[in-house]
Amino acid sequence: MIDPFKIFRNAEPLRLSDIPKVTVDVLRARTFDAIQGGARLVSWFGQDLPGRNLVRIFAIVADDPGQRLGVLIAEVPPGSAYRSLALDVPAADRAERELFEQCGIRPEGHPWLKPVRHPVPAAKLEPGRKLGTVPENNIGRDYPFWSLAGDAVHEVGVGPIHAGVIGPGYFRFSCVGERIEHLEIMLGFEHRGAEEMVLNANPARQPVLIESIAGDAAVAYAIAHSQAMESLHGIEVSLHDEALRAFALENERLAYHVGDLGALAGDVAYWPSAAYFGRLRGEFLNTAMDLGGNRQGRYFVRPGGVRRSLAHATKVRLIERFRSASQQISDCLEQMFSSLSVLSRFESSACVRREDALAFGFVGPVARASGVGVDVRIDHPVGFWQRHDAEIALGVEGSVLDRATIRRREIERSLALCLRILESLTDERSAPVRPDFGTSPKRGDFCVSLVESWRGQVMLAYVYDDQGKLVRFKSQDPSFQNWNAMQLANRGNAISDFPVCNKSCNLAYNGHDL
Amino acid sequence: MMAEFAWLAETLMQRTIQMFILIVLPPMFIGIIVKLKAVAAGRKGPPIWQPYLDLARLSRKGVVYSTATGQVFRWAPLLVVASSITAGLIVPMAGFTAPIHFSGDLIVFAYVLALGRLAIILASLDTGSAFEGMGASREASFAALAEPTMFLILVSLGLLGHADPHKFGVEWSLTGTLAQMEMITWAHYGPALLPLSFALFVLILLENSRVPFDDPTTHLELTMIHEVMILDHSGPDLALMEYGAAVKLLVFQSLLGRIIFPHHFESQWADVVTFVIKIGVLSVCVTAVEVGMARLKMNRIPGILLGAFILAALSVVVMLVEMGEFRGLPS
Repeated sequence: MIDPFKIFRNAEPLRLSDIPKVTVDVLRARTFDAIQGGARLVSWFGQDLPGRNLVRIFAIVADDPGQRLGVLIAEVPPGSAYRSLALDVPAADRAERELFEQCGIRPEGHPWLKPVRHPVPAAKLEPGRKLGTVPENNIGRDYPFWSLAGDAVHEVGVGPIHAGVIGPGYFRFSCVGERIEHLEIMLGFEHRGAEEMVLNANPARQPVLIESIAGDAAVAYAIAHSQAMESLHGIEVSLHDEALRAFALENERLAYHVGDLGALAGDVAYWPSAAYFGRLRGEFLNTAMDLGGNRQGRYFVRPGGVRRSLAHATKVRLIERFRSASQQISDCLEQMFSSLSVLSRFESSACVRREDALAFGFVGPVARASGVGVDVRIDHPVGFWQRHDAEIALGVEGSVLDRATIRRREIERSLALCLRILESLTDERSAPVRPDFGTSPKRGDFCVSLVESWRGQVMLAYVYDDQGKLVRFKSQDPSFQNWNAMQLANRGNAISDFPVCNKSCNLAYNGHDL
Repeated sequence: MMAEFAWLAETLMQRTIQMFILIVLPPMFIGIIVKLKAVAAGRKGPPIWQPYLDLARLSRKGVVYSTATGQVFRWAPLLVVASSITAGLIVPMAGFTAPIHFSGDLIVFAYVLALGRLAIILASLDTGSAFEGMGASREASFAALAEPTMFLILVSLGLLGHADPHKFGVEWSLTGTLAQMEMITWAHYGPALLPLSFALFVLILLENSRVPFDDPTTHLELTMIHEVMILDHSGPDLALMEYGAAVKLLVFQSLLGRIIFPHHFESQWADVVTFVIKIGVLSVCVTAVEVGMARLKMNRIPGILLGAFILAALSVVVMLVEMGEFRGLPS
């Protein structure tokens, strides 16, 4: 199904000259065929080629069962148009809007051609650069909200300042009584121009920037960046360091899944679980602190390996901590998931249907809760995951309960996996690798790197020019796809159940806004 | 002469104590609930006098009025406090009688409380905010559903007072009923009083925005009922709203406390101590519900209220049967 594409594996270095170049109409047709044939749209983004006055469009699709990825490119003149892919492939919705906004290529007939992000203030950019070529960007001003008419309809606007001050997003509910008929989410307030910043940063600073694209998935982003750099430069990572990275990734998953379950309990006013999970989350943040000296997991994973290996005493302490946390967490999970009042709040509320999850290309726990088995650790394994199996947990109806249960299962599995890694970790102290990434990559000039963060698939793509300079960096957070899930799940849902639904998806503002 | 003077002094003392309880103690019981909740969740929690500090802090602040609001918004906090305190004066707290008692004060009790609710609903609509409108709509719907239950509870209590109407010369009065209740009343009317107490407990949770109906600690505007209606109030106005809510909780608790444990002691002070213990125990019950269960889905609330209504209706029927009102009817 993805055979017309250039086939590659996750984080495999490619040469742009090897990628078939087609016309934009063929690109659209091939992508549509691939999706029809069961492939998943990973990304659809553009790159300005100012020297040649062209815009290059990348289509990246995934054949998950075959563990393969495919890429195809088209080059079109700036300002040109093509028939929108989103008309047939809803998963392309946001990506096409982004392409329009970043490169000015118009998807003709796009059903929802609204801005994705607030333009970056010119003052924040390098002189002479601009971001967002679309003049009609009206985020925060007269954004064209979908509106319902009628006497019974009332609209409630929430944001853009979040009640818990976690990130900015504006939510417009159109309700009939307590029932949400439509929810529209306007994002992009936090657009910092991250993709551009990475291009202009020196290679040693790149990981620091990339970790802060979505600061709550720092380890996942750092691993995605590292595995791309390593494969482009041909650097081997020791098994020991790969294991430690996997440990850090699972630890991050534990921290946020445990925190999310606590937050879910808090939202339905079930205080015991809210308090216990809130405290237990600290165990994993402390573990991140022990690994790299930062509770959010920053500064630990770097291209070439990890910055510190575990001292024997720390390892013993961590094993002790994980054993005791496993016991406590299993008790707390039991308490929360056997409380009927909690279950009745979660059950059948804010469902994401399986068809929608497939059509919109949702990823991560949101997709898995709807019964769509996508998980980068299994579908596109790199490094540690090539030698270890991850177990997948699937939900049925895609309700809040399913999303909570997915987290429960993943917590249980990640705890077991973390303990296994710790127990099998040798005490070898690999010298921290500090390869020089300043030179141009030897093995290719294009790389796509996927990592399964706790929120879902993180994609980073790198494009170099002939001189070996990074000219396009594309970052796609799982939230980029999954925000649409929130809009769909809330139709017909009670407005008082919105916070629970929101927490059960726990999507990123910064990761989306870049 | 001396006897009269002693009686006057005693009444004065009793009224002073009652006013002290009604005006000064309410925030403490809120503090107790917050503390117990924290301890139950394994946290330390704020000290039980924290609500007083909060009220003091708020009263020192300035008030911000939205340009959308009018006089209704400014008067509402005072009305809320006034209605809670007036209702409190009708309930015999520690001591034999309530400061205010007259025939038919049951009805006044119910509607004085409703007046406070009306004030808060109008004030929230006055802001023109979509959130507050939503809260007002919820409050009004659930209040309408709870009103029949409240009335049946009062009818049942009134019937009980009717059994010996001339003790205080008042009929259909809270004082008339509660003052003549003794522990032995439970032996006679237990089957009526038990469902009544349960129904009243449900009403306490609903009327005072407690879990499982509402969540006084949430920060999520979309799920709030009571809290969202006072979002726009600030400074002393907010303090009054919070204080009014605390008084209302105490009023309801003292009513239920008096029904469950109607014994009064010879000594004033023993009475006061018992009263505080009763309210403390009821606060523990409220906390136990809050700790033990999550909030209900909003569309499940009417079901629970229907349950409370059935209990209250049962209480009235059983009360009538036990009082022998049906004796004259052909069987």
